[in-house]
Amino acid sequence: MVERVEIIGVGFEGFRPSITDLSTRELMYEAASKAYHDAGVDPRKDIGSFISCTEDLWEGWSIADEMVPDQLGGAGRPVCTVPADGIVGLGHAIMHIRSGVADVVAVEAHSKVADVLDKTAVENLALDPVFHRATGANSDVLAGLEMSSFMEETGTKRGELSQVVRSAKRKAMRNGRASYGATLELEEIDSSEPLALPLRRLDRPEFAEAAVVIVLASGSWAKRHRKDGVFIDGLSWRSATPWFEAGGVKTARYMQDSYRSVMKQSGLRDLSQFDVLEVDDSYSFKLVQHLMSMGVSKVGVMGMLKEGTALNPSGGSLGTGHLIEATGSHKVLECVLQVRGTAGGNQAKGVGRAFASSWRGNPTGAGAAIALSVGN
Amino acid sequence: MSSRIRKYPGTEMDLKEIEAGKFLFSSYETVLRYSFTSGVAISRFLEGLKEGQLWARECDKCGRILIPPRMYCEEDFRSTDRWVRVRDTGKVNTYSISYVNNDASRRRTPVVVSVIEIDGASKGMGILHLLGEVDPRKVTVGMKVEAVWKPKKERRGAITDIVYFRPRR
Ligand SMILES: [Zn+2]
Repeated sequence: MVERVEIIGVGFEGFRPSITDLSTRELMYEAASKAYHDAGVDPRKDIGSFISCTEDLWEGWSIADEMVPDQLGGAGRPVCTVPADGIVGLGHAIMHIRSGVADVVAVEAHSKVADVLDKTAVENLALDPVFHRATGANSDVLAGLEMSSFMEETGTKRGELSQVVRSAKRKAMRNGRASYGATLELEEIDSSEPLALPLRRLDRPEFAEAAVVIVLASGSWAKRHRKDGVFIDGLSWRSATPWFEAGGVKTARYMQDSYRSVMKQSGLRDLSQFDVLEVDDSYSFKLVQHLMSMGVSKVGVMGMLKEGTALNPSGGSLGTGHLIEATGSHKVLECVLQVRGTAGGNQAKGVGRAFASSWRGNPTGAGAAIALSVGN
Repeated sequence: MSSRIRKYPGTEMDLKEIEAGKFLFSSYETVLRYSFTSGVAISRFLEGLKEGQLWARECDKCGRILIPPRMYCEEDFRSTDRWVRVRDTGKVNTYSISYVNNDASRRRTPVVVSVIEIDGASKGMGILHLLGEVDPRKVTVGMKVEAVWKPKKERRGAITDIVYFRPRR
């Protein structure tokens, strides 16, 4: 029997298009201070390992490990960076706990992406140099290609994707952490600026900045210290081959496989058993694709968009803003606040179980999923 | 090649062949541009440089005065408490006589790069800068130095508002 791992504290700062007053380090410090206060831990004594999810090219700082320790309370302690989404960072924390490296681990992820003046230049460095960079196909073009094929294969209509965008923007209007709330008519979305058709401006999130720190502890440590945590019932991530052209877009395999692994770990049957879902919507069609990859029918997806707050109550990435490596951490944060009943304007009723998923963006087929619960 | 090994197995490539396109490579160039938010601590520090002043932050718990300033103490993990103006003098903590530029190209005349412990800040707290008006052979650890500032109208709120540190007069 492997030891249960719990989230015993969360803290965040920012959630604005551009944070002009705080440096990256100061932003991280603010989020970490709040998370440690929430968890009731002293990082200098209680935390055994610190993980920061960060990608050097987004930081503009190679070997970004070196700029991490001080502001997390990790100076002179075991610190590492994981160049991946925040949910993958949580996976590393679970490994640290279960392997006995540490009883308590802090996982930080942030976006200070407004500091990157040419974001496309960084995104382009993720593309294959022989095939993609040479043809000038940037990540939005790849999204347009996938979107086109997805709509064809699944019979998804432009209007349905506009409903995805409208729902996200509307929920964002009630979420203090969302930077891109709006009340939009479907026609405005249908006809927003073309990027790489069928992809339009409103199908992709704008960027936002934030830091999120999540504190995890082993079940036995939490019990000894009388912490009421949120249980991690399952966590998984998968990476597909790097060949974008590998075909088959009806199902996102990284999402399907991550989801199945999480359900197996959790002993659960399907998504209907969760009270809240925070599913990756890095593009409007990706939300539909990800849900379909997790066993929801297209009709089911469209129904979820109409039903209150259970699907992406935060407003998702479309409403909150894309937070690069903090994207998954933001979704987990929302889930933790939801099960605690402190999520704010979009609080769902009686949340006992929540599910979050993330995708690392084009051209990757890398995704992660996590299942959380309280009171069982 | 070495004295023991005259030829490695495999096919040797020389620069002429590469330039002639005998082997296929894919090359790519990019320009990455960033504008780092200075934040609360460093903004105030840079503002101070414009005035010819050095500012540090003090932590009440450990009593240390930190320069460069930060809004948190990494030892105590708490917010630092107040701004403290320190002097623009100090002593050489360490130095190197450098014959390379930061793009690794060679220099004919060396520069002396130094960490200067600033007077008024805690022991070991300092900033990296250049030494000037000194024979490199005469630099010693512990040497007392002072900042040489650019004229006020030329200061930009950058560490280069200090031209260099020179032996204290
Ligand atoms: Zn201190």
